[in-house]
Amino acid sequence: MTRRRTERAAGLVSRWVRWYTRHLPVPIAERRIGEINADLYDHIAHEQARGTSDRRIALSLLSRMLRGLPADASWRGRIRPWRKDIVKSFAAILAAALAVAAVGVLAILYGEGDDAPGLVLIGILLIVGAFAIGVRTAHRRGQGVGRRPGTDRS
Amino acid sequence: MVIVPPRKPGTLLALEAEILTTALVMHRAGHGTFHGFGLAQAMRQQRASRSLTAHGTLYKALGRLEDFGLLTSTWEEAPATDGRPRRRLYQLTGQGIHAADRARADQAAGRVPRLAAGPA
Repeated sequence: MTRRRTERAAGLVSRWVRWYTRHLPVPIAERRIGEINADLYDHIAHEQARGTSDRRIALSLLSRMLRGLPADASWRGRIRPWRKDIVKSFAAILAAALAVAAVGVLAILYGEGDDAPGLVLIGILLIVGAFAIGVRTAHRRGQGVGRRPGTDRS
Repeated sequence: MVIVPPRKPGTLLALEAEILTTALVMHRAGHGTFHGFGLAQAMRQQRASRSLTAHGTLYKALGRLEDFGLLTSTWEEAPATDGRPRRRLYQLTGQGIHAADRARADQAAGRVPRLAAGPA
């Protein structure tokens, strides 16, 4: 049985954990990364022992990651508040929107063809949300560039 | 995605109460320690659900319960020989056992589970 989907999903979860723990104090980041690695290993081993299909295991891993995104972000924010200049940076917002859209596409790909309409819906919502954020950011950026210093009368 | 309602002072969130009561069941069954996936699996079985608690939600709640002094945790001493990564092992503290018992009683009585003992 091929395990490609499971490996890809586990790799995506690991990359996400490394991303949101970057620049955190080393013991805190290492603990979270270690816990998720052990969890992924145990989860995959448990499902494979039960004979669960590669697709279902991958779906389950992605579902756990996607549903935990808000908690991951708030956990990180509590330890190291997101810097305003980074959050407000045009490029960073667009990059984040692209990343969210990419996760949405993956969610749809994994959810499609399986009985996981919830995951497909989450994927669609993520893509629509990312598109809206991108358009809004580009629009604001356009207004900011068009306005010259000293001409703002409001 | 789960929207967690704001916490009322002195109370436990539903997920925290679920973690404590599940940990208490495991503790009384002779499992002194538990790890993240084992707990998620036990919680899934108890509520007869198809999905496991999300990574972010689970580990964030475990961290909070540790901050409250209801759980302690340590890394497994030696990695397993089969290449399995070391697990973080959690254990209910004495205070955690009392809180879990109280949470069960509160839930049975239809009350919001409390963090600390108080008037019923």
